Amino acid sequence: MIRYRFLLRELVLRDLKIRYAGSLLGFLWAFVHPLWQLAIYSVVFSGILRTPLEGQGTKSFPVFLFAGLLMWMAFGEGLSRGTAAVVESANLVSKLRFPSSILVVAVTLSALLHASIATGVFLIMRIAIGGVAWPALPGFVIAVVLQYSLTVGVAWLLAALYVFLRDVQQVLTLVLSAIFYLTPIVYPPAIVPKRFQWIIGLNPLSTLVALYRAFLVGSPPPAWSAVLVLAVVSALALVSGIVVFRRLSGLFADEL
Amino acid sequence: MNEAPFVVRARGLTKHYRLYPGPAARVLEWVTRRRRHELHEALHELDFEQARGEGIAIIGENGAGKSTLLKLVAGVTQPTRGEIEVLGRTAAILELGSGFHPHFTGRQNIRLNAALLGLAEDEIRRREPEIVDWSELGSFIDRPVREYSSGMVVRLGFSIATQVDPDVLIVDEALSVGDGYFQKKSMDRMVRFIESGGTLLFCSHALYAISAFCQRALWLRNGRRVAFGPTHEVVREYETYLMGRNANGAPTGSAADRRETAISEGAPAHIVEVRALDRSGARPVWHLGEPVRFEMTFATDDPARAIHCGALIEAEDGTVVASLGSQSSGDGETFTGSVRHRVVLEIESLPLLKGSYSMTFLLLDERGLHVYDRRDIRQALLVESEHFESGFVRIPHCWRHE
Repeated sequence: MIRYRFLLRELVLRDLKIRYAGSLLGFLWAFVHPLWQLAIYSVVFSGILRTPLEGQGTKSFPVFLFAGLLMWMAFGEGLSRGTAAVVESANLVSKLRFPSSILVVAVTLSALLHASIATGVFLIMRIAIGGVAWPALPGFVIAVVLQYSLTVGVAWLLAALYVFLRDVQQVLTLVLSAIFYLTPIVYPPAIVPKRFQWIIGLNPLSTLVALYRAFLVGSPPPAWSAVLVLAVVSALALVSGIVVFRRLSGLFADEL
Repeated sequence: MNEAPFVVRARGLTKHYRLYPGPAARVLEWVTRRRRHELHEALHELDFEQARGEGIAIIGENGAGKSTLLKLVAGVTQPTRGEIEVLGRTAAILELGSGFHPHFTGRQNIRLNAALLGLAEDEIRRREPEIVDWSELGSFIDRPVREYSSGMVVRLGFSIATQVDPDVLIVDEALSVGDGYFQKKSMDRMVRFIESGGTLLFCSHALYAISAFCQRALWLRNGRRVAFGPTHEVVREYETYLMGRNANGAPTGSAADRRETAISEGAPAHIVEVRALDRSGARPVWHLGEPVRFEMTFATDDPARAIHCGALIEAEDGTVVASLGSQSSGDGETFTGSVRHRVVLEIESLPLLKGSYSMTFLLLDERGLHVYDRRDIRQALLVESEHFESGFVRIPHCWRHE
C-alpha cells in the first residue's frame, strides 16, 4: 500500500479537480450544493412543517440540520460514486495491472475530503458563535473513522457487484433515498413515534448523525450500545467488502 | 534479481471466457449454482518461455488469442488454468488507446499512468520531460486527452510505456495507428529497447516489421500454438497458410497487410518519379536475358536522411518473385547527402520468363525496415519469350552426362 500512496494521492486529486473542471464557478460549487440543500430543507421542515427542536442543544434549525447533512454528504456521495468507481475506470482496469480496490478508496476519500471542507467551515462558524461541545470530540473522531470504514466497505462490495450487474446502481439510488429519510437528518430522533424508535436504534447512520451533532451542536450523545452496534456493523461492512472485492476483482478485466 | 533462464514463462496457460446470454443468467447461476453460461476458450494449454533480451512476435489471425495472451502476460487478466510467470516490471500498450482519463491533460495522464505502473513520485518527476519530449505533442500535452487523435493517444501511450524502463514491454498492434513518421520512431525505439537488453512481446499483422526485432515468433490459431521458432521460419509458414486461405477466397492476406503499412502522407521521403530506361511507349516489352534499368527520382526532407531503395517484382497472382533492396546489394550503403536523388536500378540480365510482372518501388529508412513511400506499377515488366519454359525465372543450369 505504501507503494501506491502516490497513486492514491493522484487519484484523489484527480477526482477533486475533475469534478469542477470546465465550470465557471469551479470550486465554489462545493459550497453552493450543501447550502442549497440546507436552504430547501430548512424552508420545508422548519418553515412549513414546524419541526420541533426541543432538547437538541440548538434553537436554530439550519445549524441542527447541517450537522446531519455533513455526515450524509460524505456517506451518500461516497457510496454512490464508490459503487461506480471500477466501472467508470474500465479503461484503466482492463489495460493496466494495479490493485483496482484503490479506485474505490480514492473516490470515497475524495467524498470525505469534500464534506470535510464544509465541516471545517461549519466548525469555524460554530466556534465563533460558541456551542461546540469539546468533550464530545473523541466521539466525533470515532464517528468519522467508523463512517469511513462503513462507506468504503459497502462501496467495495457494491463496486464489485456493479461490474457484473448494472442494476446495482439503480437499486442503490432507491435505497439511498429511503435511508436518507429513515435517518434522523432532517428531523430530530425524538419526534419518531415510540413503536418505530427501534429502527432508529438499529440504523447505524442515526448513531453517526448523533455523534456529529453531539460535537457540533451540543445535542445529547447516543447510547454506548448504539455506538457498539455501529462499530460492529462498520467492521462487518469492511470485512465483507474486502472479501467480496478480492474474490471478484480477478474477473473485472474480463467483464469490462 | 537472480539470473533465471527466462523472463516470461507460460505453462499450460489456459483462458476461458464465460459468455452469458444476459444479466439474468448470471444472477440465476449465482443463486441456483447451476451453470448457465457457455465457455469460450481463448487460449488452450499454451507453453512458452522467453529469455531476457529476447523479442518474441505473436502472430495469427483475428480471434486467435493474441490479445488474450498479451493481457495475461501484462497481468491484467488471470488465467483459468495453468500459470504465467513474469519476472520484473511490465509495461503494456494493449489494443488501441490506453489507460488514459479523457478529461485529464496529457501531462496529468503521464503522472497517473506512471503511478499506475508503479513508479515512485520522484522517478515520475525525473522522467516526465523525456516522456513529453518523445511524444512530440507540443502544446497538446496540456490539453485534455479527449481532444487527441487516436494517433496522438498512441504516441503518448508508447512514450510512457517505453520510458518507465520496463523489463518486459508488451505492444499490441500499436503501430497500426499513427503516421509514418511515428511508426518509424516507434520501431527505432523498440529496436533500441531490445538492443539494450529489454524483453519485447510484440503482436502485429505487419509481418515485415516483426522480422526486424523479434528473434522468435509464436503463431497462434484458435488459442493453440501452431508454431514457435525462429521468426523467418514461422512467418514463412504463416504466409504460406494465409496464401492458401486466400486462394480459397478468404479476404485477407499478407500482401494486403503489407500494403496497409505504407504511408506516404507527410513522410520524410517520397518518390517523385519512376521510369523505365532504354524503353519507350506505353507498354514496353523485354526479353529474357536483356538488361533492365529503372530510374527513380525521390526527395527527402533532410540532406542527412539516409535512404535505402527497394523494389519488389510480383507475378500476376501477387506472388513476390524477387525483392531487390539496396541494403543487400552492391556495397549496401544508403543514399544520403542530398534532398533530391536520382538512382538507377539495374538488372544486368533479366532472368524472367514470359509473363506480365508488377513492380513496387520502395523508399525505406536507414535500416531498410520502415517504408517511407512506395509506388506500385502494374505490368511494369512485360516479358515476351520464344521459349516455352514454365515457371517465372530461368535459373542458369545444365544437364550433363556423367
